[in-house]
Amino acid sequence: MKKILLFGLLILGSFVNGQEKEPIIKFKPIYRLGFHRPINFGNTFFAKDLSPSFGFHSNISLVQVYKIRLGFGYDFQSSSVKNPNAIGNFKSVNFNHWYWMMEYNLPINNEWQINPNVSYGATKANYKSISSGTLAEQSLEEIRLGGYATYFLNRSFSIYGGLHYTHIFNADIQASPENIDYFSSGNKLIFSIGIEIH
Amino acid sequence: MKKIVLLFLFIITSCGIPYDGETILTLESRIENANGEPLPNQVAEVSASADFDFSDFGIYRNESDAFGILKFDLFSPRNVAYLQFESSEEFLPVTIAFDESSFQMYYLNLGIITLFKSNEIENFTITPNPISGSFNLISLDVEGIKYESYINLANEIENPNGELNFYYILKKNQNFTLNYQLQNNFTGAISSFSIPLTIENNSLEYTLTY
Repeated sequence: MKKILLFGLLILGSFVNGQEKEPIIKFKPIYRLGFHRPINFGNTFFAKDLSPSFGFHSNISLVQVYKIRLGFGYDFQSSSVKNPNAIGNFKSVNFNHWYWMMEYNLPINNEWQINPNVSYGATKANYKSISSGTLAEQSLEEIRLGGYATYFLNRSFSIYGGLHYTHIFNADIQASPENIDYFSSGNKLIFSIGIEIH
Repeated sequence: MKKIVLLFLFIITSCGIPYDGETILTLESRIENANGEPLPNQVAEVSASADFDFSDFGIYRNESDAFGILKFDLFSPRNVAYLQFESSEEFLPVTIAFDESSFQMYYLNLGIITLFKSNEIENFTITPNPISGSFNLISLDVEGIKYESYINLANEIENPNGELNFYYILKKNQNFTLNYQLQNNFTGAISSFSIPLTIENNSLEYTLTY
């Protein structure tokens, strides 16, 4: 009887331990919503001839595998045309960016967390006129490397600041060689702030 | 069904957008006056047509530099586009129609565009006079400094009837050449001819007898 009781306690103990052990894949939705401001650089059309304003972004990650979160998001960014002689005196160029994102959870303490991440996605650039809507469209690709620093306000809300390096490129541009170099790619740093809902 | 939906989505998303944002063309010209001097600060616009009612005047607007060079980098028009010089009291209007087929390797050099004042040009009229009945006039052109208010470089709107032009507007006080070709109605043989002519301060009429 004593042996049976001991065996029973051992089984129960291992069951409890099994319940406390974190699963590999967790459903752990996190939603970010914020504003960003890009700074373009380099000798490219995006840096020399466009003037970006504040944009907004949102992304969501639903699952976490070990400490890696997988998600997707959407950014909107509008730029005014600084040099109308470059490719036309458009009222604005609107960038709609959809992307997949992978990030790593790196807790610093109970209040702070760092999330290095990488993302890849497609961008549709719409060249707008004042009166007639979209006059031209471009499809681009975008790779981002960077991260967010998150401060936990409580169990449900956090605020974050982000910094990302972005390379944007268009492999389908057809133009003279000097124009291909100038119009088909660009680099930017993106500063962002926002709130995170857990 | 899936293909039909994709086709429908493609049509509603691409319909009516006048420029192809994935193709960038370069259009270049040198603007001169009737004396062959470069004309700076001459404003020109490029406008494209679309399947819907819209106006994009002002999108492509540029002016010639100190050397008379006028250059546009522009998205490729999906239909015919028009380069037009801003109307002025000083110079006569010029319109050049073009489309993507007018470009080679995404570049089109229009060469020299001469802007004329109204007192710098005169009419030159050719009157055909087929007396023999054995020949057919099949081509006719003037080699000289001409004023053309409308130049068509677009494939879509070529002269459908191939009609010969018997009326030209030429710069005053110049020597020019009238080139023409005759085809023998019986043998089909084609002969080419060039006639040197001079236009002075008055309009000129020439009777072409063949």
